[in-house]
Amino acid sequence: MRSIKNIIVLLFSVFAYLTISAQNNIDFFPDTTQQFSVSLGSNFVYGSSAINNDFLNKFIYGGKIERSHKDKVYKSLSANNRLGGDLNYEINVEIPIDTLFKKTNISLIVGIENNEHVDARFTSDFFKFTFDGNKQFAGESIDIRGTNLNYFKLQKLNLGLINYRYFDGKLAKEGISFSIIKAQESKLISINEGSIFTEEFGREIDVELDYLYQESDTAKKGISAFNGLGVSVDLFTEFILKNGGKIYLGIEDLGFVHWNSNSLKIATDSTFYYEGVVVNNIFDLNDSLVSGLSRDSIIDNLSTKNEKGAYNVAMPASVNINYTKVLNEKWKVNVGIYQKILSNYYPLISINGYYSFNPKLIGRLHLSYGGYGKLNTGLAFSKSVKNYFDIFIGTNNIEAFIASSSSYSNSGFIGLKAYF
Amino acid sequence: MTIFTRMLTINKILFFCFVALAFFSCRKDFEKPEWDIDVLAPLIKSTLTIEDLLPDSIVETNSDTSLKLVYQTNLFDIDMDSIFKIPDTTITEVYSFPFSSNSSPGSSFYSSDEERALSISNGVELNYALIESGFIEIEIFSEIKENMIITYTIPSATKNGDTLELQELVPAATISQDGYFITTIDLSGYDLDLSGSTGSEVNTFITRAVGTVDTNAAGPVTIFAGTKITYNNKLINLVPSFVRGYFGTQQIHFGPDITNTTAFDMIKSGTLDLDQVDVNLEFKNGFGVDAQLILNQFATTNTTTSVTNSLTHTSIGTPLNLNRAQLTGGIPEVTYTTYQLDMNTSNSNIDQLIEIFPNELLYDLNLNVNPLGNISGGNDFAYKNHSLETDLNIEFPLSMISSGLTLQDTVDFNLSQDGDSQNIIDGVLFLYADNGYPFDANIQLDLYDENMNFLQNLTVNNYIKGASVNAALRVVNKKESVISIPLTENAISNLYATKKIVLSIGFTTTAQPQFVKIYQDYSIDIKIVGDFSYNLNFEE
Repeated sequence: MRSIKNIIVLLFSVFAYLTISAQNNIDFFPDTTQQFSVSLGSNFVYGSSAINNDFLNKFIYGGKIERSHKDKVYKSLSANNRLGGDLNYEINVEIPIDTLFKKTNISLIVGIENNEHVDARFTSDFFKFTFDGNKQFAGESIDIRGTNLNYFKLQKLNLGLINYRYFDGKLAKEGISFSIIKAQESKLISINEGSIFTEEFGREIDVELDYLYQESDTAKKGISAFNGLGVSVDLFTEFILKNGGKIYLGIEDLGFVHWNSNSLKIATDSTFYYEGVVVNNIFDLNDSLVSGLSRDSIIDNLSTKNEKGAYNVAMPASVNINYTKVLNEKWKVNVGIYQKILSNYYPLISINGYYSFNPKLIGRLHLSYGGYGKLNTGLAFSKSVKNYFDIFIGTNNIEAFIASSSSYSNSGFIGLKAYF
Repeated sequence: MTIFTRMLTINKILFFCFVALAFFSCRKDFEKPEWDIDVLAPLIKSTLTIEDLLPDSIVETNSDTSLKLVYQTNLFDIDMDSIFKIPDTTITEVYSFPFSSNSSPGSSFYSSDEERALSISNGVELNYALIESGFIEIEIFSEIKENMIITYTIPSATKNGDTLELQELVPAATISQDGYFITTIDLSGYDLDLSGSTGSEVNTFITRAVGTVDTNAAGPVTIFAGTKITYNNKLINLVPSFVRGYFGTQQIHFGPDITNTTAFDMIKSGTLDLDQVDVNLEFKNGFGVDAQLILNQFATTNTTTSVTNSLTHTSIGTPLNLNRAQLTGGIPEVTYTTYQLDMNTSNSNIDQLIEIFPNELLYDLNLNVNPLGNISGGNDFAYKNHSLETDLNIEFPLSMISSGLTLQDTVDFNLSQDGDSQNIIDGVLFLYADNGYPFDANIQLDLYDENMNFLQNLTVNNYIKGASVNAALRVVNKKESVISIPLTENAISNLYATKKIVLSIGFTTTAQPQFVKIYQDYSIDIKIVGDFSYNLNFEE
């Protein structure tokens, strides 16, 4: 019994890091000339190709996941399923620089960020095994091959430049930002081949497994943990088209993290047969059970390599292309495509419609498909307060609040920019 | 910048800081999720042999690969102190000066040799003893009105060749009080020659005292006639490790006395009919003395069933002559002589004594020491570490008829390891058995808490079926059985409170009324599978 729990606890970690994280948001603040400003923001997004928000919310925010929750997810499962999420906090300062290389339209950007990311891919069997146990598979194999997980938490120090350019009186920016990364925590699971066979009456469990598990220094946790170092770069540019529209091209988080030599690496490529804890003295079974069913014992059994060592992980870089067209004084539209590589992400195709209620209040309607979830519909507002502050708040998944059982993503963002 | 503008900027910064703090502190640690899963998994795998079922027994293999149980226990020991003891003894010597004299400082004024007899029990006459432990306390009272030096020697006591000698200052007596001195000497390791000054005496040791006026005395001292010096020698807790002498002709009675046995503790009920039982009573004499032993009674008792069976055998009441042990001059120090008494189902009722699963062995006997008198010429000996031992060796081939023969043991159990909460909701335990033994086995599981308060017994559906035997009464194929143990929510709750499980297994041989033998290659394969509903809860 305890052995199954421990196996599930290990596998559960694939899901356990589905906390929250960020997806791209269109810049709400109106284009402006360079000005000393401080902006802070937070956003989260999580979603899955198969797990609806009802289930995800239970999983993330806690509570009992009932039979009905599972049954609804079962209907959406396919051979390969995805989930992922991001949670970001950031604060940036833009400092106009009067002359730099004789260019007067350049601003220096200095900022810090806290990023938490998770993405995973899993099979239908894997999900059913994790959330309903192995009894349903008696006499069958549970296919878990191709399952993977990438979780990390890190902090960035950003330093960049933005160049303000004007074409026919319209502003187009370009910029570059370098980040030094303080790596806090990482977990990676990759199951290349894997199956779990439960004998019809449960008398034997056969596990075929080719997996790799890597984790940053297990002795150091929390915000103060400095378990690795990395670098990344963000690049973007904007073009003004002849029709007045604007093209945005951007690449974010192009870089890598080096997790230090205290990191853990567990791997195996082997087959295991489990027929119960061998007890030589039936009258002294307690100690045998305790030692035989401990989590360490199970890891030992499922490991042919258990060592410490450094590893490198590429950041899930994103590519963003979008087109913005101002239709009239009230309306502006934006269409785009966004992709995160190396993160089980599907291209996100989006369209946004902006409506100016007045010069100080803008509303935005959002429609997109892809990402970690499926169809997304959003609503957001941006408010300018006496030219001192701009505030925005919104979600790209309003359906998550309306029909959580039939929607597959959730997100939210809030931001504040102060001008000085 | 005006004061107003500056205040406005400060307010903006303060407001911004407030919002920033609120912003980044809003994330909370969420409640952990939980869900139920259905688990079907093997828990225990075991192959049990007869050694596993009877863990405290020695199992040996006969030539035909059938098994026999061997049980050995010490029945009783007769030690040296059963034959004699050296009691604590006080020997007083009084020296009285016969006439008045003057003694100068440094001059000896008297010398005295004394022979003193030890009081040793049972008429034992020792001529030598090596002391393992014990003390002599020497107490001196002096009526001489000057400090004096007493040299006190026990020529009979030597250690590594050195004689025990004491030289001490005894203070001068006053008008009202004698000069007084007392000391205690550890006699461990001392050889005591108890043959006196002639070398032919027994239980005798010699003391010598010499008195000298203190060299620091102011001048000659006058010792008047009748002045006394008194010595008290107290022997305290003397324990010899070896003695020699004549131990006398003694008749010593032992018993009735009881020795407890745990050999059959695991057997709680049922009946057992053994085809054959061989018992060997072995007497091993480690004393250097001839002896005659008469076993008046030997019986076994099961105090649970209050059944006692007494041995019927020709040895009961018959004197058994035990020859004296011999000194080896090395290690071990003696060669034991042995006397063996063999009993079996043909010449005794010994099987009946075993089949009641006794927990007490009762004996009553007489021991006659030196029945032929002092034939050793005073060279009887005894070592403290070599006694007269009686061992009981029981062998019985595992050829039996058993009905409900129930082995019972208490198993430590703790389902709440590592601080786990009660995650198991309900379920069924399945026990799959491939039984290679020719007996059925009924299982009973009783749950108890840490204070051995009974919680409940678990329902056990079905039993382990015994394997069939062929014409030669031998098992050919194992028998498969499946036993289910339903675990309701209440039973699970009790299991989490359980700290001890009393496991009882009742065996009934197949092929009755014939005796069936247990062979070396017999075993039972057991696999326990859990089919549980389990709540996965990730709360810390």
